[in-house]
Amino acid sequence: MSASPLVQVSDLVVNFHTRRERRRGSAPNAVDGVSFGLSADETLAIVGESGSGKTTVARCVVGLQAHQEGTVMFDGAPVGPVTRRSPATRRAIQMVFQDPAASLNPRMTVRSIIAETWRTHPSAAPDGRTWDAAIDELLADVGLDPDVGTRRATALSGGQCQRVSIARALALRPRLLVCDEAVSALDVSVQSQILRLLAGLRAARGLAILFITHDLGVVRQIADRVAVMHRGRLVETATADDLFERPGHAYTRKLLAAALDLEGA
Amino acid sequence: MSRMSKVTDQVAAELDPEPAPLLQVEHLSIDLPGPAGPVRVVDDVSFTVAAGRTTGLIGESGSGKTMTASAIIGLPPPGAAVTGRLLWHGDDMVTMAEQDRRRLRGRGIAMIFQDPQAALDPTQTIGRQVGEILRRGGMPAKEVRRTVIDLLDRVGIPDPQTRHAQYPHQYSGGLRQRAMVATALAGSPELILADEPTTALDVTVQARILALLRRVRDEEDTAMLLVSHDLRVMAHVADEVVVMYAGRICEVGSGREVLNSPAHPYTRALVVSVPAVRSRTAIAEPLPGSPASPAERPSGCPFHPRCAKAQDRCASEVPRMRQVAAGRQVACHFPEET
Ligand SMILES: Nc1ncnc2c1ncn2[C@@H]1O[C@H](COP(=O)(O)OP(=O)(O)OP(=O)(O)O)[C@@H](O)[C@H]1O
Ligand SMILES: Nc1ncnc2c1ncn2[C@@H]1O[C@H](COP(=O)(O)OP(=O)(O)OP(=O)(O)O)[C@@H](O)[C@H]1O
Ligand code: SF4
Ligand SMILES: [Mg+2]
Ligand SMILES: [Mg+2]
Repeated sequence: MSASPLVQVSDLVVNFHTRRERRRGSAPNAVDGVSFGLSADETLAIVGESGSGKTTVARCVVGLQAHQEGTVMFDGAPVGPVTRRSPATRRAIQMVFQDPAASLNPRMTVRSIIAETWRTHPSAAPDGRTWDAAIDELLADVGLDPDVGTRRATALSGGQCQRVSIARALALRPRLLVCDEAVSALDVSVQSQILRLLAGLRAARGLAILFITHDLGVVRQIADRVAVMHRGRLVETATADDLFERPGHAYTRKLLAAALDLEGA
Repeated sequence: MSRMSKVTDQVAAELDPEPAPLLQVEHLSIDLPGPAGPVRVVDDVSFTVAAGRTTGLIGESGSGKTMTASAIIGLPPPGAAVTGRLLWHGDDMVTMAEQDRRRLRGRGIAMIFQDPQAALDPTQTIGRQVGEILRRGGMPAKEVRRTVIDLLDRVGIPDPQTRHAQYPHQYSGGLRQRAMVATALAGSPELILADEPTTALDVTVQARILALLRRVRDEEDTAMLLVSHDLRVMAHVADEVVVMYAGRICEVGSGREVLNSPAHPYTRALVVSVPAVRSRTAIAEPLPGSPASPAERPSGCPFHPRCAKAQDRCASEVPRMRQVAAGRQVACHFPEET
């Protein structure tokens, strides 16, 4: 790991306790002391149990979720909730959400959804070109036809919504991309197109990627390091090769054992 | 004697004719309104689902899988024109009275929607939504509560006593997905349309849900139409597989055969793109060109602009579905040897 990572999450604690639970003090934390670093140019995958706190950690990093304890540092400075972040920081950290259809405004066309991000962050707007051409290019990058641009999210398939969501995040040329199950609604051929796109951006611009997924095959293809979450904690962090070859934690071994392969079905 | 048995066979056949399959989809086409006129997003799709069988539906993102399922459950998007026949135990659902159709929904056919966040009502507790169909069926409140908690437990939602009273936003993505599965199981339907039911689940929970669905299939003879991009899951659970590209079926066969030795070049491209878990594989080469848009479906074989095996004939002549082996049909002029 390099000396000063782009993102440093330290001792993060989040709970959603009700008043009664707080009084009794018995309920577990949704995120319970999570720490990790992520350098520019690096891809860290977070895998783990469903409900173990992966999305909650991701939402803390982008500033959409308040945490009770711990810090999130970006570029060496602590960052708070998104409303208190500088426009530059807000632009630099983008997220692709787990439920793509629910995260796109149903009343806007795909074109205006993307253009809107440039109106909010003029510094990221394409210059010297028309926005339309730039939008077409973004859509083509994620395997969508220009005619998708004129439609609303409600008239798109699940995987098309997911790709619009990826295009929207990339439109701002972020330094950190947080992907929460961002390729789960795509057929494997389109999925490889997106994975290649991300690998290319990482090589060309040093894009850092926090990649949450349940697909261990994808993890193996793109992650440098893997963090395994279980009941709110990171139980193991290792390089991808080590994790698959020499899983340390019992839960990691259970995960790998349950993973299916196409061969041997 | 031989004549005798022939006669008895004949009588038996008349008394107990081959039962109609649970669901027959015949020449289903769906047109959706587009800016430049109607767009055919599903084009002449036919397949059957037998009781107690799992039929997998795979294919490119945007190829019409969800539209096909939503036509079967009778909830196509507004403005859709659905043609063809959808036979339920031999009765046409398209011409069925709306009242009968509604009765079918949930009890006869239930759907697990692709986007649980959008399908769940944010203002109602999970327990209420899962128990909706039971309540409508007149089950007393106490029993509904007990059944719901039991269902949530069966789909692997921890602490169902507390969780049933929570709202969708308090659930993680995978918990919402499991709540959708519980909702579908609540009505004990004969057919479950499951649209990507396991994408947000870790592999251990996924295995549990698949085992549950298999158990329901074996014990209650429930059939399933499973839509999934996860070919590993498909290979493990689908008895039959239907492959779609650009609104049309390109290959049909037994799950094992289609995924082990695909005959259609598109199916082959999918199969080689699946990343392995037990060994490290390079990211697959994506298909050249862009996905076919239903608004401008290429002439001839819709896959021809992206197919490595394409010849002149592919651009001009639509390949018809034809049998290449027992139970195996392919729409390709030059299928792979199987
Ligand atoms: N707004 C909320 N209110 C109450 N509980 C919540 C809220 N958001 C999340 N939780 C709970 O916190 C825990 C962690 O949820 P999170 O969404 O982070 O899990 P996850 O690891 O992303 O799971 P999945 O893989 O299923 O998406 C879960 O038990 C969830 O029910
Ligand atoms: N309401 C609508 N109006 C117009 N077109 C639509 C509408 N809904 C979907 N479409 C288009 O119909 C086609 C088929 O969509 P469908 O949702 O069935 O795809 P799918 O195979 O389920 O894809 P995915 O795997 O991405 O979910 C897509 O090209 C989509 O853009
Ligand atoms: S018909 Fe021709 S273009 Fe179409 S899949 Fe077969 S070989 Fe390829
Ligand atoms: Mg999540
Ligand atoms: Mg779909």
